Amino acid sequence: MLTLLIGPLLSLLLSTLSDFGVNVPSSIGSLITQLVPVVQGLVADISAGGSPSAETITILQTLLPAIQAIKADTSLDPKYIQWATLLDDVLTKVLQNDQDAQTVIDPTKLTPEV
Amino acid sequence: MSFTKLLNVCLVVGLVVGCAATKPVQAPIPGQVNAFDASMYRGLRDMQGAIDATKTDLAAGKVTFTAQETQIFDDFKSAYNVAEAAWQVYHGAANTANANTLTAAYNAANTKYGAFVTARTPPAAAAATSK
Repeated sequence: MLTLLIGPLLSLLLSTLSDFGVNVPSSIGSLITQLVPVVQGLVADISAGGSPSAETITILQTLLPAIQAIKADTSLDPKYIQWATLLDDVLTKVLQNDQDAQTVIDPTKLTPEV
Repeated sequence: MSFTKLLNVCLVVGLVVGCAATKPVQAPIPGQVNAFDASMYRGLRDMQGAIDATKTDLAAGKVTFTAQETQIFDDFKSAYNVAEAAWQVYHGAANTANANTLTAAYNAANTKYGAFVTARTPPAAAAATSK
């Protein structure tokens, strides 16, 4: 299942960048492309019976600095910065929750969504 | 359109984490009933994080959804809520029947995640990298 999802994740990431216009800075494309080997390593580790949770978190933590770098680059089109801000929000929250969930099981923190 | 894909990215991220969290937890976590209880909790907390962040961005006007997207997102939230409720039941009374209910609910939530993602297949990644 993880293997099936990693590809779409990167594909979506790249296509999202592309959709912001024809002038996708090469530095951003390169930055994201560098994540591919990380993903391939993740898939290989999982196939070999490694720890998928740890590896998954690793890749998310790899994604985050890259996104934050884009977010901090004021020379970019505001659309890129906005995109990076949004993705940063979600990744940060997911990682925050994930880390918290590994610390203690607290039923009051798991609540319905409206 | 870009923000739709952004949401897809975010949901896939949450799904990846959620799926990973269904694996056995390596060490006991304070408060857990057992490893299954902990892994389900972790996966649901991850899903919750993705939903919360998306809702926040929606409320802030950073993301806009079409009616169809809203329906799909609402369907996912509903499935998450069923899984969350099932976890609460299992956490309070860990038995085979409740475990089966929780597993089914969790998988259903993941399916809703996947439905949202696959509803919009992005262009080939190669096209993006060539620009």
